Amino acid sequence: MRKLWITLPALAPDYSGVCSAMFELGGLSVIHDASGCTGNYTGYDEPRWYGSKSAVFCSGLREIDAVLGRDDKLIDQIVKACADLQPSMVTVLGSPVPMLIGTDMDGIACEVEERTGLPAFGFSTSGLALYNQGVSQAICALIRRFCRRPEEKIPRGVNLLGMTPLDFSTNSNAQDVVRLLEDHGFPVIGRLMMGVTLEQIQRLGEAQVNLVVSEAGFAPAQLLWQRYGIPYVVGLPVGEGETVCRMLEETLADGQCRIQKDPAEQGDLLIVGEQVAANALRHAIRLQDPQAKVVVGTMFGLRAELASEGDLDIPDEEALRKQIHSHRFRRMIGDPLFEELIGPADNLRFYPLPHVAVSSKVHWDVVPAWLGTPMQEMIQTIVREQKEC
Amino acid sequence: MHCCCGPNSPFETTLHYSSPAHGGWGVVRMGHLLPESYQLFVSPAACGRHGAIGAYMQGRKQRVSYLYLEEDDIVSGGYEELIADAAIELLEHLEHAGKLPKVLMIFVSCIDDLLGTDHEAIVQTLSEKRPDVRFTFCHMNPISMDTNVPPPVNIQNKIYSTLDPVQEKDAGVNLLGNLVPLRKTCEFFDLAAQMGAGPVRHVTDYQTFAQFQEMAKSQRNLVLTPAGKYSAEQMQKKHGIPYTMALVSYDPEEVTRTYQGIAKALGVPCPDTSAYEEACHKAMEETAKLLQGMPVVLDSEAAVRPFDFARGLLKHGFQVKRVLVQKVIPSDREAYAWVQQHAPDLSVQQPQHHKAVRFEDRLPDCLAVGYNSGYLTGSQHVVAADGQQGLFGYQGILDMMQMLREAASRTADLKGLIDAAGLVV
Repeated sequence: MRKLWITLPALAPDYSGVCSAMFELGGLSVIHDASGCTGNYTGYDEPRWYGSKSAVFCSGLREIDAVLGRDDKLIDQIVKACADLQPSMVTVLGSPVPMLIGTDMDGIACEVEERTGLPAFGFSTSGLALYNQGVSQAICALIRRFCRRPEEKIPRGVNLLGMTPLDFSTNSNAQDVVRLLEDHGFPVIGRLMMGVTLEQIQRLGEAQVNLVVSEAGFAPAQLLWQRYGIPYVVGLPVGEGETVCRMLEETLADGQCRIQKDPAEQGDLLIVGEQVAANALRHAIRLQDPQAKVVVGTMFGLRAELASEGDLDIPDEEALRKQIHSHRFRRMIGDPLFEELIGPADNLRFYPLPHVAVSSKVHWDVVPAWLGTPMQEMIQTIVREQKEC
Repeated sequence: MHCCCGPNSPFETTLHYSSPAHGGWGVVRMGHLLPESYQLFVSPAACGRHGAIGAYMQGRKQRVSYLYLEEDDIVSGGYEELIADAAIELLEHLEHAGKLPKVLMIFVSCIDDLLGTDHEAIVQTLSEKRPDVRFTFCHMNPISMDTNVPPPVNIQNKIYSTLDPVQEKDAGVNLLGNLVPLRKTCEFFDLAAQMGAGPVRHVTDYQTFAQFQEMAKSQRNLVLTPAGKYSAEQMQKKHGIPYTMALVSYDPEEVTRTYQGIAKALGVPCPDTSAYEEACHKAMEETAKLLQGMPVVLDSEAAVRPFDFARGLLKHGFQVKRVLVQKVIPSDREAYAWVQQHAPDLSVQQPQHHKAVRFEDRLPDCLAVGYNSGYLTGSQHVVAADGQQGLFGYQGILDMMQMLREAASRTADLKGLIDAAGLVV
């Protein structure tokens, strides 16, 4: 039964994605729930929470409030908190109960904005969708609200789209990508959403190219393409990162959008993870071994534009078990929690690659750096062991 | 009795701040106290994430699985059949793995409070299909936190609801409300024996569901925390087992009254506890002297009745500066009134108030009792207490004094303590 998850935990939900995206902007975020949903995010999906002063709250929704439709109580509490905390903006998010009773999150945000004078966003998140949709919605909302038509373009200016700790963790990943680009002569304008400021969002239009480093950044890239004609490259720099830099140069030269993709070709190595990262890892493996046959699978909704033929949408635990037990693959890269699904009869060599949106704090302290020697060594090991098989 | 509301009340209804140090056992961990039980959570996917990850961190994930509802399930109401089908499939999977449980606890979440699922019908269907397994519905529904049966109360009731009535009772007493066993050094065991009460039973004593049934034989329930009271009331109705409130206290005189109350309930003379009480007074005064006026901050997760704790400390010369509590529970109101009268400068702050995120009024040199106290004050001296240290009675006070002295003399790795505690919201 696909809805029965016997072994794996639930994946990071949509409201965690929104909150993670908004975390650094000095705003006030409120998840409209009783306590567990907020606790999910702060305790398990936000590695930055310990020691943080970010204003993320739970509305403390109670049964009587839900039954009576006490949106006014929520609004009053938000207004009071804004008066005390002076946030830059307000974000109000839904959860399963507001979804069930049809709470108008946009309407609540409008009233908050009217009463406080602060920009306010309402997201009808529900806990039924996944984090990447939340991140994407948040970035798009910020672009629509704050991004200004540029008066000038920054030569070779790049925006990074789709960074949150849910994919990048809080190790050096976010800074490494920025450094790589700057070392290659690409001034980084927007760092969405790690190392981000409101001013960067306002200036996104000044970039000449967008770099999409996770699937969550794809819709925002498409929005910036539509609004300001900024072409995009979809690709996460992995290992040495040269491929992505070359793609950026090519896009700067011809204004064409590019997506890092390699053929799947019925491979016997399966990478299950965030789609853009998995694509990047596949590419890095094939740089070392052009004969390598690698299939990418994702549990977060396979986006067709980013997929190679034969890549897999793996929507649930049952689907993942099916792939593992199929004997089609001899090796697999994925979050360490996936290894529990592998039995001796599967004859599957497993390479752990922690993903915060899957295993949360169980492994978030050991997420590897995408760039640099350790990742290159891991890729070399995978390639070498393939050749030895 | 003093009122906790009014214009000068420190208690307000605000947005809730969820500090990294906030939380407790959670219903997953509490439910796992029931031997040979397995849990199936039925909810939107996100609702299950923190319980599952917490279970992984504590090595208990092999006893919990999830049925994720989608929007069409909820809207159509078709999920009731889905629950039954998923439960059967889960049991078949577990049976195949040699891990068939005796009890399947089916947890529903907040939305179920609004949907009106027919739990009885589902239990009946499942019981007919799998008569070798006991089924019970449980709740992870913090939306009911303001009711008389919030999740931490209900889960305990659900555990004890699986006890079958027996005709004959023995001289045993059950301890309810505490999630960990009392420390064996506690004088309670000796005093209970002197009162002719025994064996002393706690859910953690049992490895099998069959053995656990022994708790139905006890003559009386002793309720050690307010969260256990509802279970005791239900057991009185179902089993005819009366209960006596014997709440954990850090006031030696209150502990004496508790033992007198237990003796009276058992219809026996109370043993002489004066030496125990005197030892507590001495230890508390000595500890206060040792702290040399160090300010003390308490929170309501370290002690369920923080004002009882504050009163006990204040009476013995401690400089209790602040209590972090979201509201005053009924069993702590008397102590709250005492504290208001005798320590008017003691500040009361709500740890979930939206202003908490500003981290004003830091007290890095205080002795913080509890993880939240430590986090919100920025203290370097933290007593790792979450209310589940197995402390009770006079020995509980002596042990707590030991914990205070140790914490005062060293610098705490608070993040490490919080991570080790595995707190769940």
